[in-house]
Amino acid sequence: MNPWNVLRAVAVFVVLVAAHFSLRPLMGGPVPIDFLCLAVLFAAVRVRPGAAAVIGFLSGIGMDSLALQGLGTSALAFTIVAFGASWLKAVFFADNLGLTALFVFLGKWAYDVVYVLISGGVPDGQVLVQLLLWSPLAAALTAVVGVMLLLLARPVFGTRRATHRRR
Amino acid sequence: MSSRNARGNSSRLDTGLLLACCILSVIALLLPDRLGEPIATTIRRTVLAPLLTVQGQSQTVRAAITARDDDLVLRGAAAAQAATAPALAAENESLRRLLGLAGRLRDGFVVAEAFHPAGLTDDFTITIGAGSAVGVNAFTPVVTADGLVGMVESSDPARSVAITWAHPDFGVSAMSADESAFGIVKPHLVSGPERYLLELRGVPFRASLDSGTLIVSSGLGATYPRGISIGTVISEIPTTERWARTYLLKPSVLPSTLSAVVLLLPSRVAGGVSQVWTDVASADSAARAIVAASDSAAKLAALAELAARRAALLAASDSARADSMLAPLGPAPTVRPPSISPSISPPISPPISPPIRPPPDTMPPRTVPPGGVE
Repeated sequence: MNPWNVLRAVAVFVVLVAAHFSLRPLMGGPVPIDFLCLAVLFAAVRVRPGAAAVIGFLSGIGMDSLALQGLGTSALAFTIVAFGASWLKAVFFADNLGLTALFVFLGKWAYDVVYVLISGGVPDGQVLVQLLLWSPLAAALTAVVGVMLLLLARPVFGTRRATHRRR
Repeated sequence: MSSRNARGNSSRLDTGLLLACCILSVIALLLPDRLGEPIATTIRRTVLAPLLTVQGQSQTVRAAITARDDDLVLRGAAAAQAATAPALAAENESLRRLLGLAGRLRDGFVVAEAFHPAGLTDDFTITIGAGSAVGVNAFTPVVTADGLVGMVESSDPARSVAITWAHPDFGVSAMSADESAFGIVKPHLVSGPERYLLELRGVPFRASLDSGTLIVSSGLGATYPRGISIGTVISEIPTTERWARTYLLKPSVLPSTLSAVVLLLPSRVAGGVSQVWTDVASADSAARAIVAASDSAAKLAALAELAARRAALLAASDSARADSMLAPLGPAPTVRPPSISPSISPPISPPISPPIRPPPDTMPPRTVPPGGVE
């Protein structure tokens, strides 16, 4: 892997994680933007699936440490999502905006589904509402922000071609 | 071949890392709290510490923004309340005074809410939330604690429409509170702000009224009982009439500020309301007379005038009782002794003065067409 690509991926990851802890508390609202999910997804597509799983695990365990219960829930969810994202992104294509939006949307939604189902922190009557209403809304908002970030930081992200297929 | 082996090794490594991460996650999930909490605490205090500091500062900023928004909302609410506070205070004061009036009247009245204007182009009528179902009929006097508002012109079972003193058809027989002058009060039909003043017409030329003199209803005509405050004298209006004076009055009641009114039922009209408004009026009149009589000569003249007025009113009262034509008009004017009892009593020789006869009402009672002059 090109060291420049590694540096770019690390820089993007750090910036998005910092945004998660600095910008997100400022925004408020019922549908938050998940910058950490964006960081994991954008980093995952630039590394091998195994490394993506490690990134997801570490990010998730960090988030779990902020919760009072359920240590490992986010870790497992991010591990699966990051590995899947890296594997799928490598299979299909490069930086198409529409597909990137769909990719982020599905990644964030998948993370919420895994997290909600594993943690059990949502009341039974609210699970469907959470998974079919609030989670898609949050995923859509995260996807929009992801596309905007991709447009603004295209030179930093670099351009991947569809010919970079690994499998 | 070696490339295929390398790909296979990488794939196995990826799979191995995935399984390792998943297994660690599951182990973390299955850990009891007493074991998981130290791990979480360690992560929070080391890796996440700078990020949590940033998060805390962001939350502080967010709280400040929210607090400022709340502060602005509170300021807006306080400003809105401050804007309505004087109106509420005025309404409370009006209602308190109305309660006092109700206590003095005791019975024979109805308290009702006043709505205005009745029409978009009519500033001189009000709608009252009481009607014939509670005994309110045409010609029922409408008053407040400050004085006379007008009279009911038409009534439905639940609502009534009343004309105020500013209506062109309004009229009431009036007198000064000390009963020294009688006349007819009509609206001041001019253009401009003075349209909302009153005129006291037909005052005998010899009866001069000072500025500030209280004018009350005289009770002649049976629509309005005697003693309801109407207004105070502002000044005399020059007219072409040589035998009578006309005075400009400041009304006691401003109809535009009305929220509740009292309607005097026929039983209260027949019983009279002399003691309700005129107690204060008498005191005011006495005070003005005392002040005016600060020098001895003026005092002597005032006392002489009082004695003459008393004699004249006694004569008028006797005349009214004797006149059978005046019987349907209701009770004759009550003659009260002057409220001034001089501490120095010089011998008074009352000047010869013709009795002052109050001008009769221009309309017989209960036969006035709607909006007619009393």
